[in-house]
Amino acid sequence: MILVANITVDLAEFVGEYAPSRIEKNILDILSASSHKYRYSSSKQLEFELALRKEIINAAESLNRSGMDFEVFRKSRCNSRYWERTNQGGFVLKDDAAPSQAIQDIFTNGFKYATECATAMIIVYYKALLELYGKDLFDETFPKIHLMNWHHIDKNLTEVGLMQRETDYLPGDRRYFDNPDVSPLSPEMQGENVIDMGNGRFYGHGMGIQRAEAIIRELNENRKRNAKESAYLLDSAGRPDFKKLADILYPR
Amino acid sequence: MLIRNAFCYADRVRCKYGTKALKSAFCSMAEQDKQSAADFINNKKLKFSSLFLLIPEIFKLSVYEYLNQRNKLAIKLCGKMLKNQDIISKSGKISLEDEEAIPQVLKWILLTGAADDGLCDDYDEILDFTASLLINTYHDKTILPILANLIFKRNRNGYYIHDLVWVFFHCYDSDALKLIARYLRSNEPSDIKLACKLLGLNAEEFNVKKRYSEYLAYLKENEPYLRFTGESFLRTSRPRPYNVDWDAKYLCKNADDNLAQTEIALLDAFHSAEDNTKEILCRYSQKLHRKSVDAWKQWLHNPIEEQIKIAAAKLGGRK
Repeated sequence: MILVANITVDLAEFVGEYAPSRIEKNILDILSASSHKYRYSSSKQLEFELALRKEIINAAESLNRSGMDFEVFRKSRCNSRYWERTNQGGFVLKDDAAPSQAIQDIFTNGFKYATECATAMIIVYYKALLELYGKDLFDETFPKIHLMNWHHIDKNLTEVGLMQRETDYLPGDRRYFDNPDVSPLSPEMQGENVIDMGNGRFYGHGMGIQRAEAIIRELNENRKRNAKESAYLLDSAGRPDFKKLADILYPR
Repeated sequence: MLIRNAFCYADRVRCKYGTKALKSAFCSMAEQDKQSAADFINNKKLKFSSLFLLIPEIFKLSVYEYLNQRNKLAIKLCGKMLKNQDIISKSGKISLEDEEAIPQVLKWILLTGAADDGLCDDYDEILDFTASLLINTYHDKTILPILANLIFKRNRNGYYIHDLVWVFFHCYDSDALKLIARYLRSNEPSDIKLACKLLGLNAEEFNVKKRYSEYLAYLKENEPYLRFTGESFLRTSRPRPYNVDWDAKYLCKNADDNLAQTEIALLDAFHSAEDNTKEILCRYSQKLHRKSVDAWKQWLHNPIEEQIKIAAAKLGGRK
């Protein structure tokens, strides 16, 4: 059920006014049919969540096409024009680089970059927000960026690093496939961070856009000898604080 | 000052004059007599770092065949860990005889190589893989103190620790927590910060003077009920590598064991309580069980509301 300002949303009416895209309509249907009460203080807040989820999916598709390689932190690479590679293998925005340009460069010159699956998720979030905020607001909101899996995350995005069980799982959620019996020589295959792309498909950096079974198969191929447990999708998700991010675009 | 007896000649050359001098000495020997060059590094006391640094020269000067089994196997393992096709093709396959010696050679790599952590990315990666094989495949927990030391040393120097932390907690042993807890007493703020992060403690909330003893008391109370989760830095920004199995603590037994019907009924009632109430029940149950099993059985015989009332009164409402 969706509530805006404590009033149940009439889905047909909202759809008529907002004209959601196919994926946004899919999200609306799940929210509306849920036993959980999804509360928003305004229609703008709800629209923002729909739009950001859509942009997360678009950004995941773009990153998948960008040519960015998969590499473990020790072998990560970045475009030194915008980013400084740290001793840990993360990327820190250079002082003289514009955050918006630096994020855009990953999508334009993907071949100059290589990192692992968690950092790719953070890149997806930044790109999605860049699309919604526009260059100026993005640069103002994220003046310093440090890309390294779920660490050094900007205060406006900290929630994406945490995972919890949800009543419903929605397109645009960050999910995780765990591989408990991973080979000791492939720690990078201990799990796969993915974006739920809707319709049962997931984007994982290094794996592409795949169905759950294909991701599980690939993780299972990297298990230890005599492995007993299969890889599986965890019953939890990581989500940004959509309301906090909406407030940045629509200050009250 | 170097302790002469702890170092073989090759290590002394490296430590005193540097890598270039080590390579130069090795090459001079190999050009004259390959066996002498091999003897130079076949020494029982050789540190892994010296062997690692000489791998290109060993192949270039065809000394490989003259090496002892430890060195040959260490080089084969390096090739496999680094997925370095050149080393793999030149060093050959790991034989059946090698298989038996692997744990011993891995341990030699870690014990003698850890001091030179930071030599280069490939070297550090070998140490990580070595630790992973020893913990995950050979279940060797004796290396945990070395790993804890490596994790904190790297953290102080700003180097990558995530894979090593993952390996460390994969031992699924509460000794790992005790080793990390020692760093709560460190004078180095970055050690304390990392220890708190790894143990799931809020560094700001913790009483600076008492944090170590408080954590040990917590561990003593909960050790039999700890469960390792497999959570890692790859999955979340705040991994909880372990948690307390409340069902087990409440019943004062492993909740994975076969449970009697009465125990299942007790757990059903227990699950209906709020989280903070569950915590009170667990603490009281465990405390009472330790004091008197008879009194504990009697308390557990009460309906859940009565259990809560007694536990809250006895614990003074403390969580």
